[in-house]
Amino acid sequence: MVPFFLLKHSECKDKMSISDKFKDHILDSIAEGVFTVDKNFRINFFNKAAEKITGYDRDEALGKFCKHIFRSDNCYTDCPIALVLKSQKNIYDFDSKVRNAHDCPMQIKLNAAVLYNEDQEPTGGIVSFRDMTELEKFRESFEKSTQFHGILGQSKIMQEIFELISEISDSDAPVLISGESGTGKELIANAIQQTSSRHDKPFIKINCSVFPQNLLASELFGHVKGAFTDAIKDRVGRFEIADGGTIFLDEVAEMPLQMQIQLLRVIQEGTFERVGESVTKKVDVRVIAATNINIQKALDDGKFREDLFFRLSVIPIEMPPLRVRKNDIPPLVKHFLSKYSMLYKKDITEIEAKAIDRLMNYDWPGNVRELENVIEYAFVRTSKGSILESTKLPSNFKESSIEYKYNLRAHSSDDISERTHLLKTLEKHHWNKRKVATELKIGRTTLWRRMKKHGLDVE
Amino acid sequence: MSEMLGNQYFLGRKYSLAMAELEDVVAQDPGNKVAMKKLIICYTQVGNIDAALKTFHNLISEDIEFIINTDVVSDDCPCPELVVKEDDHVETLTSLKEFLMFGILWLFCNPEKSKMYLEKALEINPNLSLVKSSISLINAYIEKHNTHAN
Repeated sequence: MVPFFLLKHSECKDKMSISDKFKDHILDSIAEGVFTVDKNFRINFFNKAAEKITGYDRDEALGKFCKHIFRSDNCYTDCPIALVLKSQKNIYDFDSKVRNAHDCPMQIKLNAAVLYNEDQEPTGGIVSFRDMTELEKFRESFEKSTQFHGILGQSKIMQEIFELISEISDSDAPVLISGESGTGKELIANAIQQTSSRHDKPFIKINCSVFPQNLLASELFGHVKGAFTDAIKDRVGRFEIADGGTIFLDEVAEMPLQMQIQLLRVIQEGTFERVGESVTKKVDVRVIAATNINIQKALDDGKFREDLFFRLSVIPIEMPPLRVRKNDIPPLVKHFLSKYSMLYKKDITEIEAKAIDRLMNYDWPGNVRELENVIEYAFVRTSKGSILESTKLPSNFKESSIEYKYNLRAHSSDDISERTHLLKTLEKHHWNKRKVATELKIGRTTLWRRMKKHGLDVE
Repeated sequence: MSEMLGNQYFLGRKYSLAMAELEDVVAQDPGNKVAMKKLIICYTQVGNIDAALKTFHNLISEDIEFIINTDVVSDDCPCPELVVKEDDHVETLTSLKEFLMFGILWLFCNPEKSKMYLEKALEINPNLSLVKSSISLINAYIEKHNTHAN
């Protein structure tokens, strides 16, 4: 984060002026706002992007205390540079609210580092920041426009899941979320935590599949100094950090069997020992677990303990794959278009009917995550106009849709025509079947039958 | 210990935290007038008037103008916001601590007022040698300043 040339000023004193001009030129050319302060927190560098984002001219900002320019509450609570001074660790992606020159509030994300002299004494700080206001507005409007805590899903199956989460909001019972990769299991875990009585308590997440057994035990339960070769000091585990709150154990079925026994004990009794210690600790942690493997097969193969499964799945939630809730695709596409319009500063708000047709007829093995990737890919490739075209979809995605083409060829031209018309009408009414049936002047049962015939029976 | 961290705490008006950092700075570098000036204010805000008076006296003995020439805006001096409370109830001040605190803080803005409060403190306890000496130093500054003005 901190440019090396800023940190090594003293090593090139004779070339100082050249170095400074070089530094200024580089820092002026980047899109992130950058400013530096001296040890008294007076601004002594302010790049062009910082001028643009804040609305202050460089000359107005130079020499002023940074708190007088940015006027953030963090100046009085958690100054990022002070946090770095205390922790000796640079800060990345720190969320902060500041005010611009017009006194309007702005949401920014910043990185901060401290500058040191040859004697390793702090002599100043550097902060780079980017304006997140627009993205934040988008996030807020998205959360308002979606049905449930940032999760899009108008299909019946998703609505039932949202209802279930609301119903269990008073419960501390363990939840087991199963579903294919990319279906949004973590979003569901977030929603469960946010709606629970523990929403303001710690929420700790850990992916159980990425740690070998000995390290996973240390991660979950902590260790004491000397417990193993690299244990140079005591370490608190995730369960202790989550005490009073919630822990999310992703890919829980990948956990080694020995660890599953220890996890079962924490869930049953709330007790555990740190690695290398015999003192028993007690915690109060709500467990939400998730898995993307076939649980029944894991149970049959003896890879997942049955007793742990029953303990974890007091409240089971199965996330449906995208292929069985295809009427969620149009609103998801619309959402991703809005998101990437914002991120890439492009005004692409529509999608070609042919493109949506392809999307609707793909099986989405990677689920919503794959859909988002496909939309982003096509979005980046679209340079003209406001419509995302089917020709911009990824080639591998198109190949996967060949099966769909063959299916079409297997049908008569009348069938294709009927299907296309039906799909367009569904699109037009955002898959509202009542409106579609009204426009086509058919009953809802007939509509359902036709949708099923053409592989559009998404529920 | 970090002067920079002390400076940030001071800017953030976290006086007790700033005090801890700046005390270390001054202990290692007793000639650091910038740190001393901030430390005086910290002491008044955490209620350690004895330490405030002692540091205040040390600094004005060496360089009284270093305090008097404080620029409220460009130095981000908190004194105006600290002494403004007093303007409304100046008649109700009775304790020695209060008079000493305002006597110290006012020197950052107004030597005459500083002297007035220190004299009131001396009325309550005439044996405060540091206060007597401080008043003499302020008087000397005022006389010198008036002579130059004339």
